[in-house]
Amino acid sequence: MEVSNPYLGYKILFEAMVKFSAGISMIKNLEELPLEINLHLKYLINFQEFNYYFIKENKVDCLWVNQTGKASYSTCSLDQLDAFAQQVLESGVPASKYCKVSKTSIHSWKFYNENNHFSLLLIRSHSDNPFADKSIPLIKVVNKILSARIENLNMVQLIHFQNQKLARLTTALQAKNKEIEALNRKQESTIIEKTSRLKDSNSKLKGLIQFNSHQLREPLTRVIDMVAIKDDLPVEEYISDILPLLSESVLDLDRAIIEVVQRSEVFDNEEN
Amino acid sequence: MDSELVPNSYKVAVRTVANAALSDGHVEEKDFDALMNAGFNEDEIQELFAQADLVNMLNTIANISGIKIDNEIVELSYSL
Amino acid sequence: MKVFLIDDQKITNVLNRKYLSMIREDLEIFDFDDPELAMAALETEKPELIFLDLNMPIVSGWDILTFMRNRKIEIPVIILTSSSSQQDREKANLFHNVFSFQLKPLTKSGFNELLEGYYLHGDYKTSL
Repeated sequence: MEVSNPYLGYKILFEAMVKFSAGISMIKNLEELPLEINLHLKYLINFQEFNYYFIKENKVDCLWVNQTGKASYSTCSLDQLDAFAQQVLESGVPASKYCKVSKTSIHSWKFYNENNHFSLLLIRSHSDNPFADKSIPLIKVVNKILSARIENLNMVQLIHFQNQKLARLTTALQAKNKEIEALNRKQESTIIEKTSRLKDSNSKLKGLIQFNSHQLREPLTRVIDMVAIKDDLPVEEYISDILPLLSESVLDLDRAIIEVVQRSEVFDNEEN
Repeated sequence: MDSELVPNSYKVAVRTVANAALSDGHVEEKDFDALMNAGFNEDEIQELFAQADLVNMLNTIANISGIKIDNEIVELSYSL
Repeated sequence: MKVFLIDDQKITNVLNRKYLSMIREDLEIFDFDDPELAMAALETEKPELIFLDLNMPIVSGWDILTFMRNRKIEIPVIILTSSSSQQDREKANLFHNVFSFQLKPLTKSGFNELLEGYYLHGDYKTSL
């Protein structure tokens, strides 16, 4: 084959990488990430299967893509990774192995990313279409793009989660506020009711006192009057004219007292 | 072109599309199979042949009007 | 001089009549235990002085005062009440023919002072 432009291969790869990077940056959540990788990866490297593990403490985001267009996203814990992956993870040294039966080889790399997070990248390829050593620099770039995006999406998810938590707390707080308001209103209305009852009984009491004072004072003044007039009248006149009236007034007074007591009792009963 | 740099899928795509474009839209079953095997789904394959169609049309126009075809696409198809 | 005693308690009227007649002999005293009768007699008898109780059933002392004001009957009134309420005292001030507000019981010397005041000033308003 004739080669007319030695940089054409780089141009092609550069363009493919730009598209890959742009596609990845458009992704809104982790679940969509493998599908997007699947769209672009075949323009970048030879592969049959592509695994990408993003490791944050013990939690692992697993992205899986194969050449026939299948893709999946899952999570697992660190100890669920297979022995080969574990080995690369522990040593940190890139490794590869070849299986004669299936005629496939697996290449694996461990990368150190920001925030002390690791990633593990595995590529299985068939000997008919083997992974090329010249593609290794691309693998580094692919990791850079994926790790940055996953980190970013995780952050977004965290923020989203915290926002939701905050929203729940706010709702709970609002509910509590409403409860408190309701309690306050209830208390207020109780106070108003009690106050009005107090005012009511106060005015009743006032009326009772006024009534009592008049009811008692009227016959009493008569008695006082008749006692006072005694010195001004001749004894016979007093005995004949005043004394009968005096005894009548005293009886009136007694009746008044009885009535006042009765009214007080009625008032008492109304109050209770 | 450094054939080791560019992945095989890419080469298959360019080769198939270039062939289709240069052979007046002649496409066979094996062309589809090759693209499928290279990991292209139906949508992508449709898109690729649409590209071939476009080139084909431009070629026809160029032939009729006597415009010379850009040599690069011819070269590219042979270089892969 | 014609004097009206208006009190629903007969006994009070009897006592007040005794006091007044002790003090002066020239008084022509009319007593009413029914305020309505007193009201009817006001215009015919034209008394010169009225002793008026406030708390009476059916027709009260206030009713009589209002009746007099409406009919423009200008007869000096001495209120004799057993109510010690300040409100009543203030209300009584609104009737300009009321020239004295007295709390029961009123003794002989009390009546004496009242009558002296009445005669001394002639114009009852000044002694209010």
